[in-house]
Amino acid sequence: MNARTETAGERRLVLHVEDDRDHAELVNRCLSRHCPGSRIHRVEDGEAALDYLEKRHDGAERPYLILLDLRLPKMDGIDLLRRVRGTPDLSSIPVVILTTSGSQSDVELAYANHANSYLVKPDDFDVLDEMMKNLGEYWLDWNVQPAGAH
Amino acid sequence: MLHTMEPSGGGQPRSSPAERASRSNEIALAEERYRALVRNLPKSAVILCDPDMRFVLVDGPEVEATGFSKAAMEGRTIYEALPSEFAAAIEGNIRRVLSGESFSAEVPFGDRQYVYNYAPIRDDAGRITYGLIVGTNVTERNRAERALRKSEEKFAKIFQASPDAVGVTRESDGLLLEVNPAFEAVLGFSREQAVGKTTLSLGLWVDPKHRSEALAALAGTGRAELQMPVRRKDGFILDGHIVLSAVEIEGERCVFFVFRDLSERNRAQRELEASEARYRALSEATFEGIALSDRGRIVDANEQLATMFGLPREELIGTSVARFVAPDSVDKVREHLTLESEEPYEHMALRHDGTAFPVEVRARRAVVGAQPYRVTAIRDITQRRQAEAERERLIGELRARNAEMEQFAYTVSHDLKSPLVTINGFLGMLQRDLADGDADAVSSDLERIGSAASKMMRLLNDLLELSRVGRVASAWNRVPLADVVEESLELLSGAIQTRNVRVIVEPALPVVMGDRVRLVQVVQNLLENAVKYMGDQSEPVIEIGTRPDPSRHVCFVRDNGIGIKSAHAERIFGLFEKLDPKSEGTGVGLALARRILEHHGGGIRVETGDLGSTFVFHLPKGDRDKKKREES
Repeated sequence: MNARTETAGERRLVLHVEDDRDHAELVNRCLSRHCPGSRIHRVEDGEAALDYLEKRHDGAERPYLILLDLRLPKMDGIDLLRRVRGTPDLSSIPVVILTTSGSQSDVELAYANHANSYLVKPDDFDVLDEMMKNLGEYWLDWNVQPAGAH
Repeated sequence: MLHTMEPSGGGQPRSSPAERASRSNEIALAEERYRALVRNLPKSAVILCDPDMRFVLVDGPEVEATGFSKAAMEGRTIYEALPSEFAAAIEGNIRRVLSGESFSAEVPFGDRQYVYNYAPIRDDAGRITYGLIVGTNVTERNRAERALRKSEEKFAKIFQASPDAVGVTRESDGLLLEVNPAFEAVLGFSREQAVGKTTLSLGLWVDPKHRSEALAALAGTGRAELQMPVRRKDGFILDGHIVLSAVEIEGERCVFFVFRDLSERNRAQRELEASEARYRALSEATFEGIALSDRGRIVDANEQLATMFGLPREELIGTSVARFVAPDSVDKVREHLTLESEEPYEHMALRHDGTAFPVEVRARRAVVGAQPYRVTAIRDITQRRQAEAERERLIGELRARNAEMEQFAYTVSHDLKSPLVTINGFLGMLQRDLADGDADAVSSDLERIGSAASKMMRLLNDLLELSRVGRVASAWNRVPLADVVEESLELLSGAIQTRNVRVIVEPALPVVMGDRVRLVQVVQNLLENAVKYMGDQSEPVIEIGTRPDPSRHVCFVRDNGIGIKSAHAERIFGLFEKLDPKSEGTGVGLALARRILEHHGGGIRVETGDLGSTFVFHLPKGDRDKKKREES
């Protein structure tokens, strides 16, 4: 309905878990361009992400979306997903997988652990750009989350 | 003799009264003697009858014994003195003797048997004056004679009917005195051909010496039993069993013999033995152990079984089957025994020395001479089991390799795609930035594109390097690890000096079998990692040494750097795995090290602790892996 109107102007936070500096930069630039209201906080691995989420009470902002790569150093994407879904305070945060892997087993594993969506990084820039535009619109503008969470 | 008792007739010469008196005295004396004689003739009666069939004289012990009396009979005719039936029975005989016939006749009286000798007595003129009857009781003699006859008959029958050749020879020259019908049947000579000839002349002895031997054997006890070949009439040699007895016949030393032909029996025996030998050969030729058992006890077994259980065959026989069953298989075996199951099954068997081994068993019920047995074929399936285990192991290895391949393909596709996403992404950005005229962004885009392309090249090189391990033939030599360490340290000398790392190398490093270049790669990678992850350690130390192990060479590379969380201890060996995304390299180093060591028949792991990491790798001792390598 009017979700977009309601959220307009808010600078919604995306927690981007990505070890590849260049991929992070690409996502950041595309998303910022299409969703000026969004902000991205990037961490390089699952441990850093968990660290950020658990330290939220010390002032860190609760992300509106977690954009999660799968193959990560230290703690990988699926492990982090499990931890998020297993923590009542975090479990309602939408998690979108964004990875180079199109492997069926990864897709199944992600949904089995309650990922909200699974996207494969395209090697075509225009597709990536379009993907980020839609991602921002859907998850940041239109998608409604429980009011108490924020 | 009784003749003299006749009253003197006219033919006698005249004599004086004295002479007559003396003579009459003599006669009286003689008569007295005859009477005494007659009275004491054993079992006899002496009777004189006159032509009127009147008893003139009746005497002898048998008269009283038959219930008659001299007094009651003398002077009476036979019909007056005797029961009429008996009188009628003898009347004919008396008439015969009175008519001048001398004869003997057997006449029963009651249950007694008498032989009567009848003789006529004549006077000087030749007229018959009396009939003399001397009766003798022959009841007992007849009985004895009958018994003897019967016995003789019996023996004769045995002699005639014996299936063995039986006969009598004269000891002095071997002359055949008598042979039975079987003699012909067994030895081929008819009675006519044999009796009257010597055994030597008939050629019965295969060797004439045998006769002397037989007589020598007979000499001691008068009895001998011999196994000896004997020649049949047609020349065929028989296996003889001869029993000899020395006997005396009509004062001559003779030999009674019984000859039995054992040829058939011996042939049957030999055939049985041959058949048994054939079956034994058959059972010895199988790979299986075979046991014949009766109620759980081994009755017979072949050599294979003996070898299998490590016990001489003789000791195996009589032993309980249970002794050769491993404790955890006892119930299973007992169940099969109880049910007399003929289904093949497997269980653990026990050797004599107590070691266990797997066997496959198949049993059958067999009846041998009405006695039921259990025939069991036992096969040692150790090798089969080993082959099965080896197959399982290989399948497992193949599965692991397959999974590894899958993982590899996944990793490769993911990691190679990653720089492509970057390159294409920033090419798009470049276009946009060029259109915007943003020179700084253009330069940054180009730099990222270039860097991603280089990364891709590095990944491809590393992949190539990894795939060469084990694929490209390399020199397999005795390699002193000390040399390997020295070379690796030289290659890294720059980094080590820059970071000011103290390196301690154990002096007595082993010599291993392997590819020197590859082993240098391993140690170099481990040292490189150690230097790279030293962190802010102010006194960096790397130690290289060995650990005692009886079966393999165990070496370690220890550092006092930032260390690794134990949770990542396994992950770090994965392809393109990096714990620190900012670190240099593609993450192939440890994967490569592991692959090289595994190819050498060794392995690697990491020990995590409070301070630094210890990479422990091992290599096999001896030439074992050279062989494995050559096979592949």
